[in-house]
Amino acid sequence: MKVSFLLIFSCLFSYSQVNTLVVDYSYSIKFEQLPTATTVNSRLTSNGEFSNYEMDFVGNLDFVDEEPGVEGGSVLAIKPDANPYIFKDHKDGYIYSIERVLMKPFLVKDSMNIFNWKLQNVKKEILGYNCQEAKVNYRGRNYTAYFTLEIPIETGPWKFYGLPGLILQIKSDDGVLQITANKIEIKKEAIKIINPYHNYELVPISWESYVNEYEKKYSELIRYRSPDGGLVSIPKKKIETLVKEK
Amino acid sequence: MKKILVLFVLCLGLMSFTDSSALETATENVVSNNLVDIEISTEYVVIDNVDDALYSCRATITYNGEPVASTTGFGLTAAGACAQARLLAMAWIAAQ
Repeated sequence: MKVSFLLIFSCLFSYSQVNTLVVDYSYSIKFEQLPTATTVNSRLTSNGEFSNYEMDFVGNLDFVDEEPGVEGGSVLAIKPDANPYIFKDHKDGYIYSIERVLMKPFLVKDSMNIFNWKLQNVKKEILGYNCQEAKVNYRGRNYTAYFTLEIPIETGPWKFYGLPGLILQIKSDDGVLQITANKIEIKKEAIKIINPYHNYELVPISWESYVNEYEKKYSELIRYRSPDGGLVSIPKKKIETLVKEK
Repeated sequence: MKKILVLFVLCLGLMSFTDSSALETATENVVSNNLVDIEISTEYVVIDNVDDALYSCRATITYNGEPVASTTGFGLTAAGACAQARLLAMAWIAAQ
């Protein structure tokens, strides 16, 4: 009993010394219709009130602008000129991100009450931290995450959050998304984290409004034929499901 | 009189032969024009009708590792279909 009390106390004490958390992750996505995975470095910065996650697609040295497709055809990649950010406002409970319909950007202000985690009794160690497993079904995919109570900040990479400690690893069960921490830095000085979308030119819309816009374009493109008879379509599902099966 | 009659019959024969030929040509033109119209404006209808004879090929456009759109081309050969899909994808990217 005394040992448990001391452990909890030491965890809380060490947390009270944490003012800013900087975690580097490897962010990897591999869709089944694409021949190769895209893996980039990413960084989560959090002070407990705000979190900002940046994916370094601009600095991706493995960027390939064209490669053969899985079943013939080809894959053409558009080179980004700016990195995407996902900003979490823990106080107000919103996640801000840029979502796209084709290439048109929308600033989405999404509720943070979107993850219904189920804690599992499986443990493993990542970067020296004891981690516990948790599972969630999120917008069309099942995910398995590992979080640590030793860093009790409710945040994680990409949009993920809501576990009682920092998420160090998360993978979709179908292998599409994999994010793993490879470096954790705990700073004692406070770093101000500013919403990168503050004073942004776009007016924020809800996730539901964004999905409506996406579905509208999806239906529009079903009837579209290019002048030479070709077709253009957009996927029903990216990382998140955008067009529900009817 | 007999000569005039023979000439008249020959003329009639010639006229009916010319008419028949002209009609045939006109009919061919109509058919040909229809095909051209279909190919230009509603090619997908033709493609649907002769599905077995055509290849389709897909080009996927990605942004930050995610597929954002795909284009499908059709052609009498796989290479032709893929070239059309790729050209359509490149035109689409250039327009962004």
